[in-house]
Amino acid sequence: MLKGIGLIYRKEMWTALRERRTLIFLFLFPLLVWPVFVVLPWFLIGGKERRAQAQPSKVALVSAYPELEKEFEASDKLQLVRLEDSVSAALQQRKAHCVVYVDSLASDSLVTYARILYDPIQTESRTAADKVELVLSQYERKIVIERLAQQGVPERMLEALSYRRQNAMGQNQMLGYFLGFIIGMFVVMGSMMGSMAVVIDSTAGEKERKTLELLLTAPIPRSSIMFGKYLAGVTFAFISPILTALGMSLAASFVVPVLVSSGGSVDLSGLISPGKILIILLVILLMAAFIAALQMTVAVRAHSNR
Amino acid sequence: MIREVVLRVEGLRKRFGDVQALDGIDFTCRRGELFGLLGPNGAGKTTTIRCICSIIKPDDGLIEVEGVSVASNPLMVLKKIGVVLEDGGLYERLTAEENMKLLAQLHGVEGSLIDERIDSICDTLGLGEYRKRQFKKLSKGNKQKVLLGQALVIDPPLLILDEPTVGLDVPTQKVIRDLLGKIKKERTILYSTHIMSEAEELCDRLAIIDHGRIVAQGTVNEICKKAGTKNLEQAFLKLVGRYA
Repeated sequence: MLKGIGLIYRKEMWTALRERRTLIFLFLFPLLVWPVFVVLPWFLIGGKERRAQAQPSKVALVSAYPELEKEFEASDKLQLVRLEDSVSAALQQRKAHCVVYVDSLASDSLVTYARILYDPIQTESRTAADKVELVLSQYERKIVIERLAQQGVPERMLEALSYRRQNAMGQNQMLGYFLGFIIGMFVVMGSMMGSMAVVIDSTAGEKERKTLELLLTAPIPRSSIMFGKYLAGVTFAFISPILTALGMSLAASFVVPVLVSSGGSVDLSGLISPGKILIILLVILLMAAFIAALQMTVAVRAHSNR
Repeated sequence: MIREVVLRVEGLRKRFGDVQALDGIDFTCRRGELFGLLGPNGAGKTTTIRCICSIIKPDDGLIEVEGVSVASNPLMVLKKIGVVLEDGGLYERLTAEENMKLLAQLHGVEGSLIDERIDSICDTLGLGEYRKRQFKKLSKGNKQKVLLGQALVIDPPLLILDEPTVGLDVPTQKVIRDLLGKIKKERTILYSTHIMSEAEELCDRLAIIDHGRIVAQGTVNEICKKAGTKNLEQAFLKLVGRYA
């Protein structure tokens, strides 16, 4: 029985590795296509945000307060522009990245209301709104300090609690998150895609090409034929996610420095020990066995591979 | 001299839904005999062969190859059979040689014997320059030769050929017919066809099958005598009762 399984397994592996489609799913996707799909958006979005931050944002200010206009003019992060069209037209045509309306102050009110109109889809507009918020908060603080001074209250009375948010995770933890969550998802997909073509080809494909009947005339148990084919499916379902993990790890080493904004490369060696690798391989093997079985259960019922 | 029975089929029945595909098929093939199964399309020739090869299970009946029952020991029976199935294929991405080698290994042929047999078969069938070529890149004629080759590489006591010359050009048909003429003395061949001239030329005995039943069997002369006709084609048409 084992000899029969071995012969069928070898035949399946040999025929699959001569198929261009299998090679594409097994090598090209895990090592190149998916990593590029992951890395590219990070760099594209990151680059756009960096450019938006570096350049002054165009802001249209609709206000009756010359002091506020001076504050905007004084900021090197903002460039005041005139609002010549409607707000939506100005945002769509990028004549302004955001529009700020400051409502008239009621005579008995101490509060001025401002609205920042922006386009959440555009990176430049989101960045401009952030910059405007910063300038407005600085201006508000300035007014509050002046008012307190008029009342004889010192500025330090405003400082009751000082806090800031800080990334407490190192690059390795970030990489762990990346590997565990994002790559995990791709590994499952890799496993499914890696074995799908082989499993379908060796079951429904054999029926369609009328080779299965000849195989059934071989003096080996049908269970040997099935196990040989199943093991070939498991092999591909196992190899593909490993290659996917490899490709995605390389991608992660580019993405994580961008995430933690520190630049440079990431050392994987400290994160993955031989013991952990063994556990990962065992988990992938079990997953591959499950996925190949699932695919085989469906594929043996099909009459063609289309 | 009465030769030993290699294939015995008795009372073979098979039903697919409402269709009674086989309705009590009985025949025997003796050693060194080329036995023809003649019948129109859908008569039950291929179903009979699929039952003998354990591809499908018959509802009833007995099939024995060299005294071994298909029902009780199918794997031992399959070791004794080389098959060319109607419209059958081989692995397209394997070469002609690899295909033959795979089938030989699956039938338990080992070592240098495989290479010797493949060399001999390639010489006989004129496959020498094509043996390293992938199956999908071969012409239809050469594909059929490789299919025949994979059945011969096993060197089986019983060779089953289901319409092996259908759709082939005349030279390839002749190569296959000549080969069968040569090897039929050494082994038993069950040959399914609907080409009368082929059956007349090759078959020692034959059975005419229609609607899952054998309507006549014997030598060509015996069948013509029974039908009261001059040749096999007339006998066939008369016996299947459609054009008489």
